[in-house]
Amino acid sequence: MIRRSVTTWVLAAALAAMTLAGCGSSNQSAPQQDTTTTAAASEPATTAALETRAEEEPSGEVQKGGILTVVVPSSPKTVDPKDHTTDYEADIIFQVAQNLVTYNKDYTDIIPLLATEWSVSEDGKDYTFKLRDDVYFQPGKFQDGRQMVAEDVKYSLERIYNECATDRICREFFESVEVVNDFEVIIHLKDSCGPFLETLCDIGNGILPKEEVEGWGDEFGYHLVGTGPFMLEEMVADEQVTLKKNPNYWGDEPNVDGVVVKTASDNSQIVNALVSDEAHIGMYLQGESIQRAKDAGLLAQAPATSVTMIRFNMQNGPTADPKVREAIIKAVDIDGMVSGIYQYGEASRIYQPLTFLSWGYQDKYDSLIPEYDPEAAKALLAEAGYPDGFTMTMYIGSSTNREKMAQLFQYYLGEVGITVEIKSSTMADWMSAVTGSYKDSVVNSYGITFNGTIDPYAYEEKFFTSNNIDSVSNAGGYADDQVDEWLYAAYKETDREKRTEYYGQVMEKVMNDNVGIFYACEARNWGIAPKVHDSVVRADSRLLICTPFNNIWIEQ
Amino acid sequence: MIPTLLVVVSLTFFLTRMLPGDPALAILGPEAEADEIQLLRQEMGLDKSLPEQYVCYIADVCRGNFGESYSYHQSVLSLIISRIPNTLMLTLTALIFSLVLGVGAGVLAATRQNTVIDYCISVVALLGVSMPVFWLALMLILQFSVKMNLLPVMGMGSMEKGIGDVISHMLLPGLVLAVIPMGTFARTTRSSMIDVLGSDSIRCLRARGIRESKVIWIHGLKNALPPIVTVFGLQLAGTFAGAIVTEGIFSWPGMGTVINTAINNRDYSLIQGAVLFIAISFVFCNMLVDIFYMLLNPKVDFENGGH
Amino acid sequence: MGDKKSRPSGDALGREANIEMLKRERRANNAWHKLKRNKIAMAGLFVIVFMVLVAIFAPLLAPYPPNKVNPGQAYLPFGSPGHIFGTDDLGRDLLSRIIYGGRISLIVAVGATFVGATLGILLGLTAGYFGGWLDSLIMRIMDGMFSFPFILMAMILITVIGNGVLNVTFAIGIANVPSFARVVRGQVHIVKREEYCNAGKVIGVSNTRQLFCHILPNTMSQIIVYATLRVADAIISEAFLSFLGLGIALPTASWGSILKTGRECLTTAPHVATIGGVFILVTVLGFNLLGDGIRDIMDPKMKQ
Repeated sequence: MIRRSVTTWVLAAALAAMTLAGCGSSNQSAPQQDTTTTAAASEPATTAALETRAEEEPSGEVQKGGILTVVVPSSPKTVDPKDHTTDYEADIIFQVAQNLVTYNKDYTDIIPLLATEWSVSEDGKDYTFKLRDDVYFQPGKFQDGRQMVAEDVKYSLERIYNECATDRICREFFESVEVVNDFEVIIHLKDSCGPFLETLCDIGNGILPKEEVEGWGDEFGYHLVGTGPFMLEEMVADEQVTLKKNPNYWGDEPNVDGVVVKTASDNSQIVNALVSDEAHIGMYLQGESIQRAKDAGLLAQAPATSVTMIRFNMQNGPTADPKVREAIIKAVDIDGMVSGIYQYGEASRIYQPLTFLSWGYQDKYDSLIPEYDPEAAKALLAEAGYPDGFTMTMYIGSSTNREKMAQLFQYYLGEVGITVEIKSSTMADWMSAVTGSYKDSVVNSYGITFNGTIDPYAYEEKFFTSNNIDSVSNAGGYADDQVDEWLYAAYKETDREKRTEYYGQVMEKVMNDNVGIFYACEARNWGIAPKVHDSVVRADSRLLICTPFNNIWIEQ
Repeated sequence: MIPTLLVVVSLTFFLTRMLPGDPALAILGPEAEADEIQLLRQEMGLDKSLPEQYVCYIADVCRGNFGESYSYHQSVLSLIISRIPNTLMLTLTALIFSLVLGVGAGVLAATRQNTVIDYCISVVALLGVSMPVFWLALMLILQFSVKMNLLPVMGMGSMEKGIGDVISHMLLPGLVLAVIPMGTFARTTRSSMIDVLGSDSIRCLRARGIRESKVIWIHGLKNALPPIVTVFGLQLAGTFAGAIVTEGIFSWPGMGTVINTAINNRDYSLIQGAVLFIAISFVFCNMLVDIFYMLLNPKVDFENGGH
Repeated sequence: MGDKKSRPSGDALGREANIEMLKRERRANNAWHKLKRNKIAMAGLFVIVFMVLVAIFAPLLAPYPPNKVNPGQAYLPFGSPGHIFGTDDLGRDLLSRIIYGGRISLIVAVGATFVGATLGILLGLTAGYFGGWLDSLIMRIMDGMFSFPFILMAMILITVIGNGVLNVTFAIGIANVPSFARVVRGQVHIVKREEYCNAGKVIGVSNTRQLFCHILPNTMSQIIVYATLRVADAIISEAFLSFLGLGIALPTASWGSILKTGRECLTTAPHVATIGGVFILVTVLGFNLLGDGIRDIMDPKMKQ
């Protein structure tokens, strides 16, 4: 009998601990293995445990059939892998188009998908992939379900390289794709590149049939065709997306006949739909719906690979002074702030600008953050020449969690004599206000959640390289030659242990520079109906329905 | 009409260009890097000068080309056309519902002037026009969806599941949208009817012994109609605007949702297209009302009768 | 409105100026007496006066500073000891926030109506009095603005100029301009034809004097009625903008921002949204009642 598992906080913490212990060498793991999770094996490493849904014991064998109804808070607008921007879109694409490689169930490593195996050359510049020879595209308007071959890999990856607005393929390092034979390709890089394999897991790098892409042209975003377990039947923006089972799927046949993804911008409605049996899975719950889902026994949580933070302006205004930054951090009771913002236990405290799920995470740096001590903060301020405090700004994109943060931040700083003006606007305004804001002292601090992967590159490189000071990710304008050097070395390095070392050095430096307050890891909060089995809530919140490691089925 | 539309087009163009926030940045998200943003700006034509963009835009609009929506990856025109039925379905239902109920209540109040019924109707009507509808929406969601779990609040329902599904999805947003027009119709009808019923012609009809119900519902209402028509025209446009508020709260896939998305994402061409469309329909509604008004009351003098 | 037959505001006028003044004085007295007799209007007035007093004396009345957070005391229910109205998501006293919020909401609403009325009156007077191409130009622009739904106009304006009390006032005010301009222009057309205006023209009174001493005062009653009703709308508009997060800057309380907070905790703490909404509703009702009352008094036939 197969026992279903739900990723839990405990499990994740245990895994984080495991990866810390130095695992992370294996390149391949056997797909298709239903594991029994013994979640209680280890104690939670950090703060309160996230909620696990009490899943009903399946009353028998796996049942096939049924339509899985999923509710998300915002509508997918386009599902062309090249154009997609939101997670809601990525979740749809993930069902239809597949990559060469993908993340494993626990989001700790990379496993094969359309590739069967791969090898990396000595100099780290050439990646050779052997492809599955049993993969056929879904039949569409412009091709009749032909076999997927190496030429398609070349086409799809080069399309992303040439046409995608965002960099999804390490553009600076990517050179070309060489077709060896129908089932083998070599990806050539200009230089070795540490995060490259992870990059290939990006939803944008799904393998597509050229005929369909070019046949549909601009409309391909509504008529995606790939090799995945589900085919896109219909997509109506702001209403729903309908997927149906791919009869020719190369992997295990999906247990459900189809998937319907609906949109409900009102969160309480998602919970209602779950309770009243209108929907099976509600993703991205927020605020009090988390509590309601918890009360109804539907809540399933996983820590996210994200960092929620306050960053300071490093070059202008009062926060350019390291003493002031230290004083600000000392003035804030971060634990109190986190519990004040996340009243439903939907996040946990973090300390570093790196997710603890990353293989590069080292908890020895946690203690580098200045302790909460308002008196010492006042003393530091006086020392820095602000005995009576000063006025500073805090820019946020308006969302409940950010607004609460800003108001608590304002409160704590008020206690040491610093007046905080809150500037709140839509994300679009916020981004343009913050970009390049290190150049003057209009923006003194800002708050945001940054999503990444499990590679420290996705955090430390983005946040601290001086190349990025004109982007949102390093809008505070942190620039340090030594850090740049380490980051570049870590980027080019392919060995995880060496990279961990570089990133550790960076971490120590930036923590000592008090570049910001990295306070929370917001959890992935889903509501899942009891009759849904074999669901997985992963740190990236990807909608996992039929994958090498799970296959959702609905109890009829 | 043409000058008005030109004003609208120009106004929307310059207002949207004045919106803070970079559309390219809004599309790419915070993870994007500087050179990627620059590239997209070029692709979107945002690197051109403002007058250049304006001329291009006017020329495009004249050719019926409203551009591409960057947030929906769809042509603006086809997007709007696909949403209009949804919004019309909601607004017209709400409007007709409120017209029937409002006028009925208004006539009832007028014929029973200064009775308890009159007072009740007047108070309820006044409450209706004073209602912050988005708050009413919250309260209704709280009562009927969250607490009692009676009605769905998300989306539109589908005909495949039967007419009941559609109606149950439409009930709450429709009610919220109907509240203000209902109050307005009741108030207008009441005062207009009171005037009419006091007039000599009605007294004359009554003296001739014509049935009271006929006097009221046919002759009375007919004479009381002009102000109601005026108000109907205003409410027609008003309800459309109300849809912007209501659709957002109930995730109704209509024009309101599109406009909200467009503003939040700095989707210039979509904001321009949607606002232009709403303005055109407003101007069109006003024209219809004027025509209807003229038919009802040929003596009307438009030069001075500004309503 | 729409009433074709032009009528001056009161009984027959058109004699010498002093008689006119006397009559106007008497009418003012009458109006107050009439208003006092109109119980419904008085109820409206009472609500408004109450809210205004509360707003003025907010610092004396509020039991706590409105922005004093206390994370440990979040979501206390209605009727908690020490917090009669309970607390919100950050443990702030809701009564204090309602009191201070009323201040902001009223300032914004009255200010916005004032801005809209002033600009609208100027434009309407100019257009209506001078006529010709100036009239066409102004009114075409006004028509263009008017065909934006009011709230959409305010939303876009506020997004352009950013949030904050002054900006919200300004945005709602600007969105109000076209409707005021229309009302004023319509009235000017009516008043312009009155004998005293013609008389003024004959004896060569300057345009400015004619406009501000003769025409404006005689359109004032209409404007006051309209303005009272617009204040009611402006309260709702402010609340809606703040509800969308476009309005007043954090953490300043306004009734709209209280509603916004309340939306996030509709099931766990329904009192937040309920109380905020009730205050908006009651105040708006007050202005509408008063507006109705004044209209009935100024001109019984002018009812809509």
